Amino acid sequence: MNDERKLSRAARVHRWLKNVASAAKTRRQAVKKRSLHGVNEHSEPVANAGLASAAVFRLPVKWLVSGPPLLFLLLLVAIPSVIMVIASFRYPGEFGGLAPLIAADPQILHGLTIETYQFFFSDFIYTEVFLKSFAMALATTIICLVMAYPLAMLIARSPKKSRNLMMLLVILPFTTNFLIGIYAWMIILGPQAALNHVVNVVLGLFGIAPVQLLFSPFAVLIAMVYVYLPFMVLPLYTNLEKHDPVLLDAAQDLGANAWQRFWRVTFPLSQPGIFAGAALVFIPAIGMFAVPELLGGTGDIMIGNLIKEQFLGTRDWPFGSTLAILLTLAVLAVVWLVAKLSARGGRYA
Amino acid sequence: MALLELRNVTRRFGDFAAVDNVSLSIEAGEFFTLLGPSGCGKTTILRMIAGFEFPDAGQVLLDGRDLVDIPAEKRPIHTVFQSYALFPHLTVGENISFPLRMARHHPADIRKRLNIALEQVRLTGKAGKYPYELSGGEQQRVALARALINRPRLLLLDESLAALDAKLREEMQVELINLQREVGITFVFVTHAQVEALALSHRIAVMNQGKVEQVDEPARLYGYPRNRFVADFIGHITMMAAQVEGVGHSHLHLSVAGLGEIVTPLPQGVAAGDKGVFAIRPEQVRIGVQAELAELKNHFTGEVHSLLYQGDVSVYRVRLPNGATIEALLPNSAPGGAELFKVGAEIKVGWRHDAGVFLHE
Repeated sequence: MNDERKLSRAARVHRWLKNVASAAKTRRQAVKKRSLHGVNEHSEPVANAGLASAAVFRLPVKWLVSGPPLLFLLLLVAIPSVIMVIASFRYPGEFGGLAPLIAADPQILHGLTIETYQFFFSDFIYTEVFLKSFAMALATTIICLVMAYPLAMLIARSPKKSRNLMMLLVILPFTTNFLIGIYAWMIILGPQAALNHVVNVVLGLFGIAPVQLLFSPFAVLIAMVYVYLPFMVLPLYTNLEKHDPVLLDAAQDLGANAWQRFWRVTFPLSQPGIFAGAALVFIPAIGMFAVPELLGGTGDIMIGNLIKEQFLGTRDWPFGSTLAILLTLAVLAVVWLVAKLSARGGRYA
Repeated sequence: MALLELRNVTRRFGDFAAVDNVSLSIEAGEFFTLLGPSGCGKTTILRMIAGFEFPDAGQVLLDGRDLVDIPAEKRPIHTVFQSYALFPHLTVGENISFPLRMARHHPADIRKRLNIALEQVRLTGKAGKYPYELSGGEQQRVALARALINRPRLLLLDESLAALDAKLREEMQVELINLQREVGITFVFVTHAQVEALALSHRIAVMNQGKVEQVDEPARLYGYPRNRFVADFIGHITMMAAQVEGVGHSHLHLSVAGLGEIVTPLPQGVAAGDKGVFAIRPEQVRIGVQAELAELKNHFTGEVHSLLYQGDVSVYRVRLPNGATIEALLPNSAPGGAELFKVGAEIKVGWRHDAGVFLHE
């Protein structure tokens, strides 16, 4: 596959490695083995630093309450994040994993480098995957918003009794593992399925060549919307349900027609709900790899697939870490932007 | 022709008639009040005038034109809601100019009229603030300015002062009277607070259980209530069962069991033998020693039952020989003279021949 060849950094890295280090293969293998423990070796000082802060636990009872979740986050989020950041500045091991940080033999590739970051920006293909992933996540978010808004409004304005039932129906898809849902989509969109035939018949009427629905960006988008729609409905409903209906009466009383009532009152007041829903959809959507893997074509890979490939396929951990860090930074930038926007719109809330 | 007319309007919710065959006529420039206990249908009437409810029977006419086909947003009628319903995401200026922007006025015109409106409600300089940054009284004035800015034919006020504390409410009452006089727009005010209704209105319609009990000017409503409900709902009043003994030239002679004869003004359509109640306001009842009250047509002996000191006045409740308790209001004109009569003391009670009112059963 052409894409795979292009994306396979490991091949180039290996060639480059041979030029730099001419040391014996066996020696390198030994180093390689040690470097696999590198992650653990390195994590120790970080873990100790975390324990040093345990002094605060001697203080009030509140630490007893907040301690366990803090410890959980420290062990499973903060420390792995630090490990990832450091891993992204290391060299890859010859047979995957990481090269050692410190090596007795100076000829062995070791230490820190910004090589992976340079590599990311040297080839536009990676930026392109980022941009495509952003576009896909953004499209998912917008379609979810457009579909969820009327639904959330309908539920919020239904009689109180039926609201809970309707929300239950929205949440119901969560009871099925989303992978099973995606396999279902493979069947629905498959070339043998009725839907594909109908689509091609209709396209034929307009003289358009038949298409394949499965393994296309269209299939990826449909499944992404399917997976993330409830995440948009929930915060929107929570917001819309709180709106004081007297505001709509007031707007109507003061001369606003139905359209103006929506755009001048309901919509601006629902901005915090929109931002919350957009964040809940966009952030996981941009890192999604299962959907493009199963439903997408060769050209539909997203950052998630790229990262997965670095860790499980080519075993280029530093580059995988770099991609993950860059993705995290990009998402943080989006979150920051959303927080700023919602803070502006949420003054009155 | 009346500005607003309700003709035999009925509005039912299920089997319950919230508004039951109500006819009202409101003149241009009037400050008209719908007064009644909660659930009497006054708010439903207001919502029908505004266009949020529609009559099941009867008509609502503005300038003689039936409003039934005109949606709320097209009616030249604005409402000041009880909760003010200010848009929380808009500034004071954006709130007030909202009706002008909905009607797509020219921005320059909007700015000009906004400045006038802000000045009118003394909010100049607050245009950029958000509603939550304002006090309750200021929010009230924003709601007023917003409802008045494009000069509606009719302004509806739904319990609009209820959310304010007592002192501020009094201030706003004065402000409301002045504002109404200044803008010359017809106000229809809905309230359950009779003091407010009496203070503000040109005319009041007292409502009960979906029906209008009496429409009158405040002083007439207070002085000459038409029935027991109106008498009881407006102000304080003492009522005693009574029977008409004789009908005089301008007076009525009543007999009250266990008490004797009472002389009271002659109402219309009363004949000897009629049964009803004699009702009298506490401020019309005088209490004191024998000599002072002897000249009054109606005077009796009683016993001070209880005393309520209220600062400016004291309310004495006096038990009469027939077992009834009558309220008397005594202004505390002398400082420190809070307790002129001790509880349990024997006392004279009396009132003038033109005080009190006889109400048919």
